[in-house]
Amino acid sequence: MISFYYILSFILVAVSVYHFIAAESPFKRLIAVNILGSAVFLFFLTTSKNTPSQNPDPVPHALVLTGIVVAVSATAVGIALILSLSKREKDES
Amino acid sequence: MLLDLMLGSLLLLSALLSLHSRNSLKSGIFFVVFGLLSGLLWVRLEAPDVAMVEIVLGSAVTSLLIFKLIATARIKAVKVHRIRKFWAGVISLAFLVYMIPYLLTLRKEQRIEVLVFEKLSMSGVESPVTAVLLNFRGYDTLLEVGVITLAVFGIIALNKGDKVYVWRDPLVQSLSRWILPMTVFFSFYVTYLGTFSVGGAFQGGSLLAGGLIFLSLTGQDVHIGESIKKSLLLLSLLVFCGVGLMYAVTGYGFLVYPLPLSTISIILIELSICLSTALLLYTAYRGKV
Repeated sequence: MISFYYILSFILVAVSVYHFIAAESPFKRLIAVNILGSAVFLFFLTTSKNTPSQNPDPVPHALVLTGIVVAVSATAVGIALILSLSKREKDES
Repeated sequence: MLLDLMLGSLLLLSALLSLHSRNSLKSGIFFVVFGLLSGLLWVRLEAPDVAMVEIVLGSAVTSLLIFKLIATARIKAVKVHRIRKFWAGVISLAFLVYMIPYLLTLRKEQRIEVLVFEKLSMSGVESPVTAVLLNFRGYDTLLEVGVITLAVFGIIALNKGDKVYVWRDPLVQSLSRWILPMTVFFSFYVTYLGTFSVGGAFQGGSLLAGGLIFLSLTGQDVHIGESIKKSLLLLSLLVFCGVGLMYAVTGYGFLVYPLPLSTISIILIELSICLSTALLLYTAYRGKV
C-alpha cells in the first residue's frame, strides 16, 4: 500500500513538471506548481506513515502544514501578479 | 486497500483533467476537486491536521482566489512550441526515472517520532503536531507567519483597484451575516482544540478567513477601523517575536518556553496566529486593507 502512494506521488511530480514547463498560460503554470506541491506533500506524509510504530511521525505533518500555508500564500501572490499583468496588457492594447 | 486505490486514481484523474483542459474555468473546478480528494487522502494517511488545512485552505480559499482571477482577468493562451514540449517531456521523464529506484530501497524505519512522543510532556501541549509546530520547531512557524505577512504586503502593493465580482442576492447577503458569528465561534474552538487534539491556529484562522471572504463576496465588509485591521495583520508576528524575545532576555533562549509557562504562551501565540491568518487571507482575497 505504501509503495502505491509513493508511485502516485512520483507520477504526479512527473505530470506537473511537464505541464509547468509546457504551460500555455501563466494560470496553468500556477495550477501545475500547486499540484507539484501536493505531490511532494503526499511523499512526505507517506514517509511519515512508513514506520514500525503505531503512530505516524508528527514532524512531517507539521512540515506539510507549514508547506500548505506557504503554498497558498505563494498562489495568492501569483494570482495578484497575473491580474496586474492582464491589466497592463489590456491598457496597452 | 480498495478505498486507497479508488481515491488515488481519482486524485490522479482530477489532476490530469485540471492540467489538460483548455478551458480555465474547467481547469479551476478540477483543481478544487483535486484539493478535496487530497484532503480525503491525508485522512487515509492518518494526518487529520493536514487534511483540515488542505480542505479549508488548499481547496476552499485557493479556489476562491482562482475564481476571482478567472472572473476578472482574461487569460490568454499562447501556442507552445514543439521543442519546448519535447524538453518538458524529457525533463519529466528524467524525474520519473530518477525517483523510481527509490521504491527498491523502501523499508519500515524508525523515524524521529519516538523522540517527539518522549518529549511531548515537556512541550506544554498534548497534541504532537502542535508541539512540533509551536515548541520543538518554533522557528519554522515564525518564518511561516513572516512569509504570509510578506505575501500579503506584495498583494497590497500589486493591487491597482480592480473591480471585484459581487454576488448581489439579498438572501445570500443576510445568510453570510448570520453565519459569521458561528464561524468566529467555531474557529476559536478549533484553535483551542489544537492544544490537545486535532486542530490548531492555521485551521481556525483559515476557517475564519472563509467566513470573512463569504461576507466580502456579497459586497459587505466587517466594520472595524483600518488602523485596527492593519495592526491585526501584524499581530501574530509581533506576539510571536515578543514572546520569543521575552524568554531570550530572561535567560531561557529564543522561543524556549519555561515548562510552567509553556501552555499559556502557546495558547497566546495560537490565538494571535488565528486572528492574523484570518485577516491576512481576507486581505489577500480583497487585495486591499
